[in-house]
Amino acid sequence: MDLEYQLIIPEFVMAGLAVVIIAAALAFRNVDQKWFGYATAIGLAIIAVITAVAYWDTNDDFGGVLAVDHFTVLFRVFFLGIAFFTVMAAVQFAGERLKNHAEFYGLIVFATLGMMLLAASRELLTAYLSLELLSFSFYILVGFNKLNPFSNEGSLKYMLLGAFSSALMLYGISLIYGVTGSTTYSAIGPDVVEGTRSIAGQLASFAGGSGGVDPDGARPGLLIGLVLITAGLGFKVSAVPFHQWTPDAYQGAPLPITAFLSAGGKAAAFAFFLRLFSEAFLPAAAEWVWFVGILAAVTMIVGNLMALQQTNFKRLMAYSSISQVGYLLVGIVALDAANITQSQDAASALVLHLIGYVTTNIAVFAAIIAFYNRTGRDDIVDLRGLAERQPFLAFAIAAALFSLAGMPLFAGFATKFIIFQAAFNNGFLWLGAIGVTASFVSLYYYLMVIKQMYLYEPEGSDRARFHVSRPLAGALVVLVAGVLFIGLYPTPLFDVIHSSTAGLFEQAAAISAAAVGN
Amino acid sequence: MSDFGFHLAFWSLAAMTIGGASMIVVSRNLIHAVIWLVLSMLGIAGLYLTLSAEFIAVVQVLIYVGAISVLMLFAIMLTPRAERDNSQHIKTAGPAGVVVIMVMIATMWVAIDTDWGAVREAALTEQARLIGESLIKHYILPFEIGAVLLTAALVGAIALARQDDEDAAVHAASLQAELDDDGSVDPVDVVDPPLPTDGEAST
Repeated sequence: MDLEYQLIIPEFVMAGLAVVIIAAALAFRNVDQKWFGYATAIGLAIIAVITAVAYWDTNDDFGGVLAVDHFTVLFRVFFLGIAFFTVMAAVQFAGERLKNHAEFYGLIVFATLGMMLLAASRELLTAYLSLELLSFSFYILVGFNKLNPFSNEGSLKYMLLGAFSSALMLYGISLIYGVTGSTTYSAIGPDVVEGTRSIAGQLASFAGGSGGVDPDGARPGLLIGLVLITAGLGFKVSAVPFHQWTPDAYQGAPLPITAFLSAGGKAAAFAFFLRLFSEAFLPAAAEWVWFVGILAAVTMIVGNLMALQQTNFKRLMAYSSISQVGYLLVGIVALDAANITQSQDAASALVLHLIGYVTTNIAVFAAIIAFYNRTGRDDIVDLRGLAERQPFLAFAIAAALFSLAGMPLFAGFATKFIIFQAAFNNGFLWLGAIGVTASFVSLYYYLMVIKQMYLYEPEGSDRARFHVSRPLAGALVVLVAGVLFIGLYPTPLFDVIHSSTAGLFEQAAAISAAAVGN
Repeated sequence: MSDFGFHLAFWSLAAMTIGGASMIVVSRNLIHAVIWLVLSMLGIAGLYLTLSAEFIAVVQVLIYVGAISVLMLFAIMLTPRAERDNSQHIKTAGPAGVVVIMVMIATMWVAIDTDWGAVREAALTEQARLIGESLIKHYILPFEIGAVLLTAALVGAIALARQDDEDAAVHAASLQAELDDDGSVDPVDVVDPPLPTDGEAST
């Protein structure tokens, strides 16, 4: 069998970049650390451009293990962009507050590599190993501020719960393998698996009441496997019963890593979630739609209610990101085995909301990093009077928070609207209603932050105006412009996303066509 | 395969595995518990053999029975003797027991009620070659991701564990601060209070 190695050149180059950055620190001991950061950022930008240009028209498969289609390329560029902005925001912070800079940037690149592979995987073991690469890099990065006890605590909690969730997921994967006899999505997806062991065979017999298979038999392995995989993924995206590590890890991690974790970590896990559930598990939608729906509802409610009580900005953003996970899960619930067009709409809505959320979140964190570089504080009351001291930062944070709350004009409104519309179309009225109500609740705690910035005078000994370093300010301008652009004119982005999600449903479409034929 | 021999092997191995596992929970001495764990894992390796998965059986013996149990023994030997035994009465034993029984019932339900399909039979000698081939042919990419994962983990472990000169200074300062704090309750030091060394000592 010949494998086409040119399909994964960007991944090779990423691994090379990480090693080169780490090795360069050994060779150039006297170079200012910020150049490692800028070198990483430039490398990421070059890889992103090359990936976008060279692979957009590719639609190929790496031995059934990895797919390089529009979806993969979109997410490759997206993850590289996330890493680029994280590194740009991190340079000053890392220089002043962290050590081992080359390892810091190298691990960010390793984590990004894990994300890129995760979004592309079409095989459960590859996906699992990519997820572990991503998670291990994050365990280390969260604890990177090693003289800060919060950082150590957050890292340890994240690692222990992460190991537990990996075990759950592996057990789920082994059950799915046992039931379907394969780990590749294309074979788990029904039409390839032989005979009665296939999900399709079971579904067909379930629907038609014939075929000689007992419809009640042969199910529990599949069901428990799906539950365990969802639980493992729930840990990784921090959906509600599995969210306990999130606030501690977010608070303890160095700020740029909090940004990266909340943006990249979630985006990668959702890319995997979406590909797995739309390619492999869509025909079995009836099995999982109810518990993913409950997960989404609980996550939206608890995330927003817990956020109301927070006084630390990083913890507030942790609970805010949990509630955003709830909205994203609505997109998974809206996948519908019977109606492929609607499923694709739901998938596109999910990806659009993901991109809007990530852009917004990185904007918030870039602004908070700029604030932290000056003050070294991250409680909500410390933001008091920011509009006087640094109007641009206050505007950026306000715009981003309005977007997270889902106000019109900003990204959050358009993307949430489309995702709830997908839920309504699929008959999940109650879920959409919970989502809209939860968004109103979230407006309260975002407005509390904005109130601190705009309605109060600066306090304390340090109330002078201050400057934001140029690379950081430039990154922030681009991000805020992105938030406004997605909010005002999402059509071009949505079209790109829609063309990329089409590939996810080819297999499901073929299966349902075959089912109609029978 | 003679049916009797197979059943004898299966049931004795199953008894060995479950008996070892129960003794882990019962034994008060942690070192004894690890020895029972070794027995239990050997039983599992034997069960793999009865499923004609001889490569996995060998790996099970090499990694779990060999490496991991030795690692556990080292870790136990390095902990203080007083904390070594699990003789305390555990308050949450009741709820934990309920959870374990529920998990067991769910597992049994899954194992018995699912149609797992036929196990494909393979010749005993072929397996290592087949696994090796698929690892460097079809599954080369996951294999390589594993390599990258280990590199990242090693780099990170060194970055976290390495003590730089500056770290040493900060540690010394915090230790000094701790000593100073202790000194304040010591009657000798009340007479002769410690001098504040620097900013670190006051925090």
